[in-house]
Amino acid sequence: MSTTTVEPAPAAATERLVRELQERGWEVSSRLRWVAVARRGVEVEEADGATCLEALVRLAEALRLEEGARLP
Amino acid sequence: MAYANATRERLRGEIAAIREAGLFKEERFIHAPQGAEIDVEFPAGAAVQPVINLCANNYLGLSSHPEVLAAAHAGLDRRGYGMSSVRFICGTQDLHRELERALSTFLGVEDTLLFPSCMDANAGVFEALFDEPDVLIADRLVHASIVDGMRLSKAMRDTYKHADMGHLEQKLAEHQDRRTRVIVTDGVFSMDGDIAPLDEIVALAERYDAMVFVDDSHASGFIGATGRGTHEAKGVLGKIDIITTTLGKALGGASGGCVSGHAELVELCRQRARPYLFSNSVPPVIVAAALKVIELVSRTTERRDKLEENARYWRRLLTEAGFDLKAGESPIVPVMLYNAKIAQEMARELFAEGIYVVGFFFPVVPKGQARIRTQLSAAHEKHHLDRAIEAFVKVGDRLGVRGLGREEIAARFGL
Repeated sequence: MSTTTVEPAPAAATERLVRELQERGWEVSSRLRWVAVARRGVEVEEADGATCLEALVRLAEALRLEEGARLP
Repeated sequence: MAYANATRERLRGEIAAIREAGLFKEERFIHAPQGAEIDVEFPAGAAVQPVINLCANNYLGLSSHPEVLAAAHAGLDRRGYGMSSVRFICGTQDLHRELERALSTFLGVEDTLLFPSCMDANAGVFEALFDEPDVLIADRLVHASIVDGMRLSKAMRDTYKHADMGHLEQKLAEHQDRRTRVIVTDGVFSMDGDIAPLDEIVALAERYDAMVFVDDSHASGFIGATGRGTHEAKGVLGKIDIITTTLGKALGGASGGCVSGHAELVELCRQRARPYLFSNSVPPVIVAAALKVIELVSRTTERRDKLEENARYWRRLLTEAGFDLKAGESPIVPVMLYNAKIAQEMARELFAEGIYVVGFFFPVVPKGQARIRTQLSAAHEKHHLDRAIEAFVKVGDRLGVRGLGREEIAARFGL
């Protein structure tokens, strides 16, 4: 016997997930965000923002903290 | 078992890359209690060698103090070894509350919450107290645990140039639309041993309606006239909103840390800080010993005064011997060698001469800022420092760095 799995359309999947979370008491919203990513060798840092500039500013701040030389 | 060869190869490659970058950390085995003189096996398997220790955070020399040891033994006898629980289930003894009260009194705050370490305190405090509408504005050289803690919070993160009050003011002005602004700094910075200008920071906080957070791990117990910390030294006792600090350095040197400050902030950490909620209680033996430590440092300033005198004496010896130091008043005294290879060689040769110090170079410190970080202790006697300076002079001469500043070292050895 073979089974065929029918993937729900993306919209249906979204609605299902939102409903599931609402049933658990969450008010759910979603929005698009910009993501800025910096890579150097194996290091990766990323930040998001409402605009590309905001994402880059946050990325720069995150890197400033990460890059600071540190001793225990 | 699904530990694939490919995984093993990848991890080995990463370890090799760490070695290649000169960042491989090797443990040295100490065959003695912590103190001014210790017996060290290094490299592993080598004969154990007696050395003078100039790299511990044992600022007040209390790590192996007889009264502290006796209190630890008594604590073990009276309250047992482990709590086998987190604090809020069945892991809080009378001693925990007693220590929290003693720390609050010592630091001059309303309340205190113990954590398994200050790393944990910093990892938990920001997430527990601040959220999306808030902004955390940190000095760019804050401790790594603060960086991690800030990452765990949903608050916006921003930074200001190290100890640059003009830049901090600009950032505070920029963020006036945020619900809460929090200035985040170390009290004493571990790399250079410099002290944060808390008096100016508090003035800016008042002007721009911001809170002040200080990690005083390299200060509690000895900075300030009675050792309360950086806030005492800078005349702003009672004006710091959140202090985190450690029991793992001057205050006995075992482990444990805390968040101290306004009662509501501390209570919210008790309710929400995940390292507190999901880690075992600080063991009774450490709590009992820490109570003795607080009693000792509250009773007399003798040890912090001796530490201050030792730091002054050591700075004078090094300066007179022609070494280039980072200016400062704390017991962290960096001897600047600028060149990474020289710093490593000097540390190695000093060890052979019986002086235990560590050389630090890029990327642990900024490029061209290689150094040997020496740390003083009240356990040091003058004769320890006299012997140490003899070794510094001998090795410094052998390497040809005595009397040289940054430019001369750069010209002769490169950076």
